[in-house]
Amino acid sequence: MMKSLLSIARYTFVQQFRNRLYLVVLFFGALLMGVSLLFGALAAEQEVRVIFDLGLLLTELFGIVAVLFGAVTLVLEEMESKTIYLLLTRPLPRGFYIVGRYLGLVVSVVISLLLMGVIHVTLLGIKGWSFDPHYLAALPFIYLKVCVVGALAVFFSLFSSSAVASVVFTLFFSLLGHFGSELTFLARKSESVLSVLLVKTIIVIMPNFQFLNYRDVWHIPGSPPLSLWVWGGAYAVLYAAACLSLSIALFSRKEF
Amino acid sequence: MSIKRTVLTAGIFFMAFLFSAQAISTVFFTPRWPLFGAPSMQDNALLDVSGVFIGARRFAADLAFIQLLQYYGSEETEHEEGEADSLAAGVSLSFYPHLLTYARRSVGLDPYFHDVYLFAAGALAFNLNRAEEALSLLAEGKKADPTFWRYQLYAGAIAFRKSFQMDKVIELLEEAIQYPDCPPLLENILGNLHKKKGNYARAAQIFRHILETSRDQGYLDAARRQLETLRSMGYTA
Repeated sequence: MMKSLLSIARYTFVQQFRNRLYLVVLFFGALLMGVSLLFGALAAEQEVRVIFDLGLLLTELFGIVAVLFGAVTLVLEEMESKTIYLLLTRPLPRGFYIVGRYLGLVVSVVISLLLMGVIHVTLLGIKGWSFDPHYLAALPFIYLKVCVVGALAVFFSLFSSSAVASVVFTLFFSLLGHFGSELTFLARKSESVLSVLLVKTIIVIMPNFQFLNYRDVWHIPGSPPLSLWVWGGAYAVLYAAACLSLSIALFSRKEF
Repeated sequence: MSIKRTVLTAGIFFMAFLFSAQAISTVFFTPRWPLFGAPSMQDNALLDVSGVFIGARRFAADLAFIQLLQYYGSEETEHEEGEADSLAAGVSLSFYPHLLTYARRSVGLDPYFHDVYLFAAGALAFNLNRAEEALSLLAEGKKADPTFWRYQLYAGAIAFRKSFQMDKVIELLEEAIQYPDCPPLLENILGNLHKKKGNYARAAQIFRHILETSRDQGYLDAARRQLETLRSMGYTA
């Protein structure tokens, strides 16, 4: 069974690298990395800081875009082309199919993130940056965010059966994930019980990306030590697992 | 796996991540950014909100700082940078009237962006003769991050500047420039103060240091001009 899972993951991994959209995203990401040099020039003494921040931000954004478009078409494409029937005729649990496809996708995205990281570090090195270990800590948390977004995208693709709707829902959840503090403030200020309940429900259901936003907060004095961010990693893994479980439940109900 | 079992598994994972979220909130304090209600310039509100929405407050603050530099570098150019004392007579508040607002916009997004406080306070106090604004900005910085003691160092220099105790100002600025985050604006001011006092050798050293370390073309050109002037007087770094 594990062999089947790994086979699905492997062919998904290869498929992602053959996907032209995926390659375009990678190319575009590398191109915009170059643009960070322009911003750096405008920032004078803060050049290195700007390139550092922009590079990490672009790495995250393009990782999310790559996993988003990969995930929404992961199952939908095979369903529309009917090639999924060939797999489902095998004695393969449907859950293994979803998990295998997801694993192949996230492994392919981590390769792209590492490549972008290499380009970014090279740019920083050229500009006189002295290596900061916080960089090595920021990348895993970017990857965890990408994994959560990927799991959400898989869920919405099976929930809505429409690629466009999946992208919209996933992006909406991802944006709300960074807005937790402001939403909590709104909930406290609101006088309506219904709106407080609604906002609190949204805060609970949506992924809280502040737990994974290490790249934006490492410089803050009193920021928790890296070891405590492991909790954030655990949160990301559990959230992704919950989304995948629901995706498996949805997929199991589909009739082919 | 049956659907019921799958949904049950999902429910378990859901409860587990809720638990971990609660544990994170109670076990440790995730850095709380100020709520996005800081005075933001109307024209750039959308840009700032977008930065917050995608979890990029640091980068949004960087962009705001770039706009501050563009604002400060693009308008009035009738006076030389760092000519602090000569500016004391006749500078009007209409020069860069929104400099403080620009600085507040950047630190409203990232209150731990120390360089914005230091740069803007230096420009306000030493170039634009608006010491009160500079001191209020440094006070905000100190409130946001009481551990960054250099705010007090700069505030001290500005306070002495107000009472025209230039020797004290030089003493504090000499200490400030030892740190890598000291903006070249202040190095430039210190160089000019030394030049005014007749300490040409020390002034030349400072301008040489700016030439070697600064990335800002404006300060590089100013340092080059100053070194040429000093060289013509027989002083080199």
